[in-house]
Amino acid sequence: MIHRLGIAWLAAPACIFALLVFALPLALLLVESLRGPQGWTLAGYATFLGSGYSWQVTGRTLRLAVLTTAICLVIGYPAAFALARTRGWLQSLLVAALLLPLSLSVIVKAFGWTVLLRSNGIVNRLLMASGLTDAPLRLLFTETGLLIGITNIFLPFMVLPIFTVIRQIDPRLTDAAATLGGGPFYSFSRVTVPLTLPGVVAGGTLVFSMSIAAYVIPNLLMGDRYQTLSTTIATSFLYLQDPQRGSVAGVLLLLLSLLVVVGSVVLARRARAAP
Amino acid sequence: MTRPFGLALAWAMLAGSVVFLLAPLVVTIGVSVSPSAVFQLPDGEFSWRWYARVA
Repeated sequence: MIHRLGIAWLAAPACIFALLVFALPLALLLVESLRGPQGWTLAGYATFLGSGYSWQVTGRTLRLAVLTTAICLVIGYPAAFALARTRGWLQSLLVAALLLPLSLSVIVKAFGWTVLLRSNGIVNRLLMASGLTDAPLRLLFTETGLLIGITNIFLPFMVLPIFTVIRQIDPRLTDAAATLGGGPFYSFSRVTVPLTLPGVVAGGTLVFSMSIAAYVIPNLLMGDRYQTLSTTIATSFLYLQDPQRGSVAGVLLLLLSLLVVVGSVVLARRARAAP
Repeated sequence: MTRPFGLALAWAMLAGSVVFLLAPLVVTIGVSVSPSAVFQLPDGEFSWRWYARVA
């Protein structure tokens, strides 16, 4: 018992740090969202939720996060699968190639995408050279361009957790499924996918929670007219001098993120528990 | 979906992901040696002028 208490005390500094750095600012945000000129009020929430524009912004934010997570999963899962099949220096080189972009500022990457996606940029030149399109496509300041840019930022956060989980799977399990008559698709869907679910949930949670709160990339690749909850928060605090509106948007963003993250963890647990 | 096809697809995705992830980095390096005052890739000519300005 004393030994356990001793171990618990070791966690105290981290808990105090988390309380001060994470919980306290969130509590202050919640207080600010409920504070009005005449005391406590839900007027901020009523105003925000009563506006059609706010619902539009919330829907746009959710759509962006869901699409980013889905695209990252579709690209990241097979990429992680192939990465886990590599060995030695090639694996180290590929992991380094995945980690290297994380060392570069999001702002620099966003400006890099403005060069790539402009009408005379490399992407359009490649599309026209391959015959896929006759005229340059408008990619910059469109949702397609934004999705390309945001996927580029968050893809490593999907690949790396899935890769870590796949690497731990015993390859003999799929061999055993094949020995028992399971075809490649059957053994993949009934053996590999359930075993990689924790990695998918971890990657999905990371990408979703970061993309729902993305601010720099939507701002640089779409401009001011494309409002998400994050840009709404910034606009409310910095330009409109309306901290209550910003706090309400912040609390709603946090709740949405929490709801999806907790929901996905619960679903993954149920899926793993299912026979 | 056969196993070789699945693996080939996975390899293609990995190679594509690496190119996709490194593309803005390569572009940034390219733009940094462009003599142009506009934010664009060098058009045949290279210059260290931006590095000289920072140094």
